[in-house]
Amino acid sequence: MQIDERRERGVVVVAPAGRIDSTTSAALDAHLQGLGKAGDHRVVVDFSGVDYISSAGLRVMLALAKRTKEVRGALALAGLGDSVRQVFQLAGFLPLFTIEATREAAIGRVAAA
Amino acid sequence: MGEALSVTVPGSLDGLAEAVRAADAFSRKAGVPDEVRRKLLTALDEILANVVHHGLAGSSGTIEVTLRRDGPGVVLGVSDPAGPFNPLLAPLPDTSAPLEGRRLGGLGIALVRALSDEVAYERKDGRNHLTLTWRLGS
Repeated sequence: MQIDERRERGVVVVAPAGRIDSTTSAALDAHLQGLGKAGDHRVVVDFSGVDYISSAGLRVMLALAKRTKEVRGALALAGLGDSVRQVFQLAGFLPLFTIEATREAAIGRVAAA
Repeated sequence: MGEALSVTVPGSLDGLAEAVRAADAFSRKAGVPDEVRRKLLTALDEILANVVHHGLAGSSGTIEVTLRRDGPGVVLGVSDPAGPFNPLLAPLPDTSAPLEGRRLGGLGIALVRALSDEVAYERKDGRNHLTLTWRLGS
């Protein structure tokens, strides 16, 4: 899995590409855990390059949300396509996350938190 | 009309990845709409992960995956040699708990049911057979 990472206004933006499923979610999990260990707790995950996400990917996002809350960090998601949004909705995940349409708006939310 | 995929893969994460790649390539070639392609690949990942992690749980066995355009629909078939497991009877998870209390057991199966138009289960010849159908836009 390809994972792009940038920094903007004190926020780390992580943009995975392709599918987030049983075989690729471990790489995303490792990447996000690495950020936490490095003390980066202000994070945006940009889904605009994601084809679809399965429950293995939801597990990774839930773990990230829990870690972020524990350390009083800030997290926002951006760029959810219809497919990704539907899976979040079916899982009851939409209320658990700050979700913005665009990366810019998500960075704004985290930077202001 | 000759548009069918049939792959047999080992019941492992590598086999899972191989089946998903094959189903993805077939769906694109057969012109399955992206919306349906994403749903069926998500469902396939959930079903196979369940078989590999819980059904086979380390024991060996092969999984057969079939996919075909069938008139106005797309039909996905998965057969595995694990113990009897009917996902249609599995309990659904609580999707309303707050962050701290959220447990994800059973979520994959719930997604399989919600993302497909029809699901059928059959136990035959010592194997589980799941058939999922998506109707294409009318």
